[in-house]
Amino acid sequence: MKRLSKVDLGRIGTDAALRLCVPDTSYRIFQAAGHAILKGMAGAVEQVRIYLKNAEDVLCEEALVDRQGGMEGSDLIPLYQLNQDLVGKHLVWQHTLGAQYEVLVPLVAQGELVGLVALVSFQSFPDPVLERLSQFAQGLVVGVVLVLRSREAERSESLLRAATTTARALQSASGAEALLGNFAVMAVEEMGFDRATFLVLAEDGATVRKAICARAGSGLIELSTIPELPDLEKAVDDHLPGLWIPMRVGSRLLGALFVDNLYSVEPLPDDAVQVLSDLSGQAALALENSRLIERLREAALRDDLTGLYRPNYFNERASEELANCLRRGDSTGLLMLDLDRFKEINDTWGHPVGDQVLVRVAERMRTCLRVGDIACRKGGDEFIILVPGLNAERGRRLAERLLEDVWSHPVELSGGRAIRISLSVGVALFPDHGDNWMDFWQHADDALYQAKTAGRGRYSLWNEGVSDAIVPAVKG
Amino acid sequence: MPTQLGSLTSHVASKALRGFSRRNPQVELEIRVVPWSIAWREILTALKRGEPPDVLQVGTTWMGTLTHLGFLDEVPGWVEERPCLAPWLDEAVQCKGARHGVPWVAECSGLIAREDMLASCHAQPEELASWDGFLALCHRIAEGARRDAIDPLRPLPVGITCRPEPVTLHNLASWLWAGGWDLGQLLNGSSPILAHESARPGFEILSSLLKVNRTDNDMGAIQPYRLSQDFYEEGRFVFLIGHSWRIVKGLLDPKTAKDQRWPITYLPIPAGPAGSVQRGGGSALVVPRRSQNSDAAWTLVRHMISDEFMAEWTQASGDLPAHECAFWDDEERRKALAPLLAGIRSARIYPAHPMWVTIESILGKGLSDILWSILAGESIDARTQELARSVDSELHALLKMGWDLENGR
Repeated sequence: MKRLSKVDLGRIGTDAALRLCVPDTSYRIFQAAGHAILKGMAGAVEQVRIYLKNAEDVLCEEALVDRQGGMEGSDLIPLYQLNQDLVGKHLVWQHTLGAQYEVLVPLVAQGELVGLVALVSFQSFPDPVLERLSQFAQGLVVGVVLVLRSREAERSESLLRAATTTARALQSASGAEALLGNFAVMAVEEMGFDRATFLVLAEDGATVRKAICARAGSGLIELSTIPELPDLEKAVDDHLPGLWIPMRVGSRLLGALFVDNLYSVEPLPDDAVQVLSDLSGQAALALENSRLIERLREAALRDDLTGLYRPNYFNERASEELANCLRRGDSTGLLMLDLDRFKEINDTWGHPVGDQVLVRVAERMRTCLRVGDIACRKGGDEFIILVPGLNAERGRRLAERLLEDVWSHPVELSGGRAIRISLSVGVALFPDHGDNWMDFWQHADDALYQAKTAGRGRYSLWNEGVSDAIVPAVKG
Repeated sequence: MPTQLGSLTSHVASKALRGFSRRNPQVELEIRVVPWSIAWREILTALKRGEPPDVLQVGTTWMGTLTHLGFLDEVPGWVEERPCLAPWLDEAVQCKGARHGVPWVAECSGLIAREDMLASCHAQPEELASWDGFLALCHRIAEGARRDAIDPLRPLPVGITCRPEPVTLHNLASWLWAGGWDLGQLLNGSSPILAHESARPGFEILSSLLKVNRTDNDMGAIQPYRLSQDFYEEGRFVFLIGHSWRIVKGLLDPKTAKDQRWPITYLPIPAGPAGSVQRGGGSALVVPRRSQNSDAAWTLVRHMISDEFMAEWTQASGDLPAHECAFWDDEERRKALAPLLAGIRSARIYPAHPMWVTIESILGKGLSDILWSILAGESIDARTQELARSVDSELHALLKMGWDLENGR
């Protein structure tokens, strides 16, 4: 300790600070600074630890250096656990640790405590040395402030990059689902959250329609059990690192994003949460636009009266399906339907009632079909249905079911009258009944013609003859 | 690598890896030492950024999360040749039938005791075997203990820290388990967890130990590292609840044995109403799925569990090999380490929950709050139950948010 009385402590602080003035902000530079202090203190000190204060008023150890080497620091000291003369008046504080002495030297910049150096020795530090340690701190603090600023700049730059990438991903997404998926993935990949979960609300603004979750390391998943939407005004349990961010357009709630660090237990970074909250406004707007476009697109694809697809879209989907069918090596069915004596209905009851009949037929068709079947109003009272995976047996059953179902759901008129509806159906199978679209179509049309000419209320599978009448003739 | 060797880790590991470097000159090795307390955060951050090291040493309790998140490569069949010391070591690295890590070192909690003091207190084996006997012995020690200063000849009974950290749970879980608390079962339901009645005997014995020790706030807040120093270097306590690496190191390294100020021994945690339960743990070696050098990485892992590496590593670190290997073939050594080996074989581990790190953090803080309330003289009936219920509500809130665990499609 005598030697330390003669050493220029201010210079040791400056030497250590120089180790921090390099293009690196990791613990390694603090290790280098620690070694410089250990060397400069001329064997009087056994161990050096350097701490920086974080936003939560906790001193976080950056590096620990002793005579055996150095390592990344891990100790955390909340300010309230420290001697209050050190914290409040910024005074050097010496105390004993068993047989050792520890001196804590506050690092102060512009009147604020920014860090701490702990020096451990087997000998007590005499008062004159303790007094001169403030010179050491003044030298070192210059480097510490530089590191703190550099880290802040790095963090801001990284956040800005993440925000830009996320905003770009929002713009490039096509469709509401892709947009939400991109946003969740960006929250995880760019902003570093463990998970990002989207709850997408139905039009009523309360029911959760869908939930998707992006998580570190595992990409995007759709949740089969949909979590409940909590009261968004109430935060998640304070102790858990998670946060709900509502997605609103005006006062309408479209959904909510939950970001969390429930695996890593890291506190949520305030700045990233703020960026995400700001971006969630953009995302909500983009989601709203995307839904609007989807609705417009959907409207353009569907027949105004029945809501079934229009022929152009049907043709596109049909050619895709035939290609898929050839790849799969199975079959696809085409059903052509025509209302029996529809002209008589129009002439007798008027066109508004005729429209009701068409709507009823479309409604019953939707009931009888599976997801993936494509139904279209071809024009007037003619309908077509493409049924992927259909074979002859299932084709017969489906045609029968359609005929029976439509017949058993008459259109009710005022005065207790009802119009029962009869159909004729032609069925053809691809590729058995035609290995190209033209032949396939023509054979379904031929089969419909056979059913019509055989007496209506029945179906025909191309080349296999016409069924018996499934329903009685049209009755008023 | 997070290890108890601290700043020496890199030096020891480099030395033990010389043979590997000689045989694999094309492989460039860089070792990064990370303290345990920040290792989880560092490792997960590196994995999340997609820039992990090629080989990682991870705590066995972290495996559930890392495999759930899909970060880890599967272990090729050629890496491990010998069986593990205990089935729980295999279970800790497996997920849905696939093996994602290689158990590397194994440990179990227990009482580390000063043999000189056991002799001078005339401690009998039956006293050390049960809670009642142990408490009576602690009372005897406490009567002669000096409280105004550290006196190695008149030490306090037990070193216990009450900090709000997972290490508090690690040290004290065995006592709760010995009292009948079955965390694994309780986590699966919506019933009370820490507030479950089976936790009460554990709180009672811990309360008694804090009281007989006359633990105050300063002692309760002591850092685990400092607590070890107080036990090993200053002789402040007769018992330390912890791990055995210093005992192993002393057994293998004559210099360490010579430097030890007093002889120490390992004892199982005394049996409570549910028997004596040791908490098992350790480290596994894993290779991230995104490693660009997975073949070389697995070759390194294979080397790190070899007799050649483990002989040097165990001597320097006191870490016990997790596999049956040459280390355990030495009859004399096996005999000396028999209580420890038996402890490892029969140890109980934490449940392999994908959110375990968060769960352990909540339990660590909650347990600390409970111990502080006991230090403050508050009643186990009222205050402890209230704090335990608050921990439970936090745990249930967390578990409810685990919607991605078995839910994805």
